[in-house]
Amino acid sequence: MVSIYLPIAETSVDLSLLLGIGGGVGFMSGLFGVGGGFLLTPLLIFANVPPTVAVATGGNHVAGSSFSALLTHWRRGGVDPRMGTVLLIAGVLGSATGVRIFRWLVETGQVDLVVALSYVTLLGVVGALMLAESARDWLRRGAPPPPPGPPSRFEKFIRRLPFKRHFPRSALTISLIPPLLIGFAVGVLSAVMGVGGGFVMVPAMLYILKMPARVVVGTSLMQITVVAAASTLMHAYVNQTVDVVLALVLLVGGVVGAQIGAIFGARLRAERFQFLLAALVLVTAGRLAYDLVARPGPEDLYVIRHEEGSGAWRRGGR
Amino acid sequence: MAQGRKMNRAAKLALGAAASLAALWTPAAPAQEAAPAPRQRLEERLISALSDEEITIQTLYAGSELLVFGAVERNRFITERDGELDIAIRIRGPTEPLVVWRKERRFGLWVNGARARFPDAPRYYAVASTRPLSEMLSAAQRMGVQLTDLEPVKLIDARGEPEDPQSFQRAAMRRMERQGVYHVAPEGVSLRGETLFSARFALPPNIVSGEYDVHIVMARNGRYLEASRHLMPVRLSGFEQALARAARERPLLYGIGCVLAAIAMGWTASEIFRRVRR
Repeated sequence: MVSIYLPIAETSVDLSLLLGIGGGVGFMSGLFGVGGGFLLTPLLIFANVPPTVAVATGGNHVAGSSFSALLTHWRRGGVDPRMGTVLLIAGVLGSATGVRIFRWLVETGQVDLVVALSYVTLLGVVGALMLAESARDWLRRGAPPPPPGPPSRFEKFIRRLPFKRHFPRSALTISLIPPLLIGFAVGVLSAVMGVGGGFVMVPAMLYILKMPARVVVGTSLMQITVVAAASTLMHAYVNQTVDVVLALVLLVGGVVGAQIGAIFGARLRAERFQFLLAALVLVTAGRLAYDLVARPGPEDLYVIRHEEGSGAWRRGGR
Repeated sequence: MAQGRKMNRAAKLALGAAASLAALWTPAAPAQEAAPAPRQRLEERLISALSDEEITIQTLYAGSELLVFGAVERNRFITERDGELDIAIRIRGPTEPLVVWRKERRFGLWVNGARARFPDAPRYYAVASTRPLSEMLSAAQRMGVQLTDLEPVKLIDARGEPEDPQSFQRAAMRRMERQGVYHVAPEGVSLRGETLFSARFALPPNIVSGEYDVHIVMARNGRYLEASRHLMPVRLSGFEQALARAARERPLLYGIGCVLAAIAMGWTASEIFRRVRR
């Protein structure tokens, strides 16, 4: 067992544990196009990394591993750069707004509760929707896909919105308003919840924007890479909680995992892919919901934390 | 002691040994003088040293051990009537505010409720002694020499003080104990021949950098005699320190560096895999 000392987290963590966490999360990232932040942050806290460092460093790791997976999808033509640009501009703006909201939540207390509740709500809804969708696909298996029904009122509404642009790679002509709103919302979520936001992004692109599945993962990776990089910068500048040693060790495992994940992703059938992601999202949501409702054990009844931003940099005098 | 601190480990060990020999030797002199002189008043002096004058945390740091040792020098042989000699050693790391919440059930959910704040909680605190502190010195004397096994959780902050601060203190101490940064060893100091003493302290992998205050207290018969103090710095090694300083003093540049490093790593991996697969 080899331990490595993390200068910003100020603790020593087993190296193979970090490589394993990075590899596992990277695999998810390459396979599903989600950044994996929603798994990475809890795992790091479990490995004794302080929560503030875990959130900020998670963003740094996600930026690197998503970029690696993005390149693979890019070469395969699985990225719509025009749509990606629209999404990421809105995403960075949303993330800046989210950082303000987060600070406000910290000041009013109960930031833990709000974060946990938004995780449970979002992951629960998204996971259930995806599961229902893949179950429908499963039942229809073999049968020819049903002819598209008459457009719903929601689809008609979206089609009537102004500022239409053509997105050649997605073979789609759509108003700029829905992608801008989605990008912004995901940016806010990613800052408040400390995640990349891919688990919201992918379904939104599939079901609201109606983008073809082959460009969804790559395009969401493009947005995630930039939003995660922006949030890393903000955390490094405002909170000084980004541990670059931790991020790079996670990345060694993460980039390898992401590459393997991307290869698997190319082979996996669409409905299975959706089912797996839905199951993963639901399990995470269930776990978080359980923690909120179940009576904590005697050791977990108290939450003990060093005061925000009271790390080594404030002690000074070294 | 100021001199001793500058010496290296071997020299210190030699010094300790010499001191203890001296301590054993001195009583010989009065013994040669005319016999039943009135009982000489016992005078004792404490000489102490650390196995490491400073600790450097390197990349592969996985915890270490600190040996605190020394000798007691005195002017004559001791007799049974002199009572018992006690040594206590207290190490205290840098302090930081610690906040403890107790979860409460509201609307079916467990949320953070009552809160207690400990403004000066040390990040490391260990006490070792020849016997329990309460048997060694009176409470008033312990306060006077800042020697207590409860210090990590002194609740000073009146603001938002909960109804039962003790339960918050106990929770904070249990957590620190589990993380290996708080321990009390009532028999952790070994004392040989009433002269040589030593105690080992485990410094876990999660210690933080800063000044560590090593405080050694000597008492006889329940009365405080003398104390000595060492300040032991725990430092990050060159690379870790450079990173920590950059994060603190040039946060924007550091952040850009973090992002670029991550992107570069992602690109490298992508290139490697592309070539491997071809």
